[in-house]
Amino acid sequence: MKDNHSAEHIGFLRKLQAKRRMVSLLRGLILVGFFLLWEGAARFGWIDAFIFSSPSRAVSSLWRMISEGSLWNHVGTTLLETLIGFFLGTLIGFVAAILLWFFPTAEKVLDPYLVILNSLPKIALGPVIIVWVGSGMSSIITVTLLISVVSTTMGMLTGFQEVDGEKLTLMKSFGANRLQTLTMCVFPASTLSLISVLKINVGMVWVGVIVGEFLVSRAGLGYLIVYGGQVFRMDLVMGSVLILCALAALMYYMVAGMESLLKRRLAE
Amino acid sequence: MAAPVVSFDHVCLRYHSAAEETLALEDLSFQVEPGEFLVILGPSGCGKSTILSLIAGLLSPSEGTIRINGIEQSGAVKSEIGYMFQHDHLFPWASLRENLLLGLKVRGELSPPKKSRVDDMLRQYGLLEFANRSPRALSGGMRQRAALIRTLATEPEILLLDEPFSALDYQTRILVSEDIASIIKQEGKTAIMVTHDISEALSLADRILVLSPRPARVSLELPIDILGKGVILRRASPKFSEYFNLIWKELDSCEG
Repeated sequence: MKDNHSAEHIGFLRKLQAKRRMVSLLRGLILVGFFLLWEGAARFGWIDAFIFSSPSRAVSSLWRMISEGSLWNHVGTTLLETLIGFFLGTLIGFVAAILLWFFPTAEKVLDPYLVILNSLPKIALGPVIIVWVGSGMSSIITVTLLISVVSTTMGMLTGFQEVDGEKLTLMKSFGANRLQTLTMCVFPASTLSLISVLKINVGMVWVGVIVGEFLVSRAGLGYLIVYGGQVFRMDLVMGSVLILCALAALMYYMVAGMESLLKRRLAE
Repeated sequence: MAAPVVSFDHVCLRYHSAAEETLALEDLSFQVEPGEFLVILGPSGCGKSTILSLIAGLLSPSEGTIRINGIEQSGAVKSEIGYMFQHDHLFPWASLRENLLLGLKVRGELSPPKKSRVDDMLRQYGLLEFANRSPRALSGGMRQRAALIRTLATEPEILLLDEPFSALDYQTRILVSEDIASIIKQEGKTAIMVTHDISEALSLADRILVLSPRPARVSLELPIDILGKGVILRRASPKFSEYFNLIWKELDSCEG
């Protein structure tokens, strides 16, 4: 704290800090409490540990896989599929949004189809994808793209269209063409909505990858979950879900970190 | 008398929508002399901004002709025209200097002499220390001054001002309008401003055109040559309220 703060302000800062600490503490307590309760319930026989598993059983099951060296293959497969799906989905959605912005008539024509595609449960197309694309990683990525591309396109297009009309007139009054308007004004003006689309996309991509793995795969966390369920190894299922939680949270926070970095740059 | 910079000759403009055809401007004729500060005054929604869009070439008239320096406006954006809006629209993601160079960048005219001219204006109008900072660091009045520099950077001959002060609070509005009027005079530009604020019109104009409600026609033309120089001096002049009442009556009779 700087010396030039008044006593009142120092008091305010202290309170602020105390409040922040309390929030982090409560967050941690919920997590620890949840696992303790789960573990205790299994140990004291309130729940059947064979059906519900327990944190220690899930972790020891994962530990066994680590020592056998098979876990990294599954985690790596899922991560690779997710990253490819995320970047490809974002790229295709972004390009599609740019094209639709450039050609408003095409956007008008395609609008009902986009709406239908967006509201269709894309998982319904899973069996078709397997037949058409085959039962490998390419089919998992195709399912992921189906789930993420349309919502990316619509989210980004909405971001582009929300840019203030007078800003566009300003660009026009300088004689800017549509490409210049896009790169100098529309892109930077919609940065924050693009980031929020990315945040939503992270969730979409995980759904796509895990569903894809349920349908076709021989490796990956989704495969472990389905396999574990089939042979009644709930420890394996719960362990895989825990890893999924950690990975999804990590990816989300990476995007969120990017967002706050950009916000700070914009607010300077 | 010198040739007019802008001339409207029996200009009509109709808007079309699925529901109806709207006559926005009806048989509008007027001229703007070089170096003149013309204010177009009229009730909200009468089509004032439409007139600026027509001059800028963002819209084309349904009938009649518009000439800029004697050449018919054919619906293309002309380089001798600069447009200033109610909101400054300075981009928060770019530094102040980058903002002011926007027009030159769009036109591919980012030459060192033009850049240094923008820096000169920044210095002259008290904004140089903010050049490398975000426009967020500026107050409302400074932002509007910056928007004017951005418009002047492309060296337009004619400035179109679309209620450029109405987003500012009262005191800032008077100070900034004084500021901006003197900059425009100093740079020797022709200015056409639209507003619905009678006092603002009277404190800046060389001549006022009062428009009727839609479809807009010129209902009163008023040269303002007997008031003093400067916004605050003008507002203090005894003639000010005479003019004010005259315009008020005219607008009122149109409403009725």
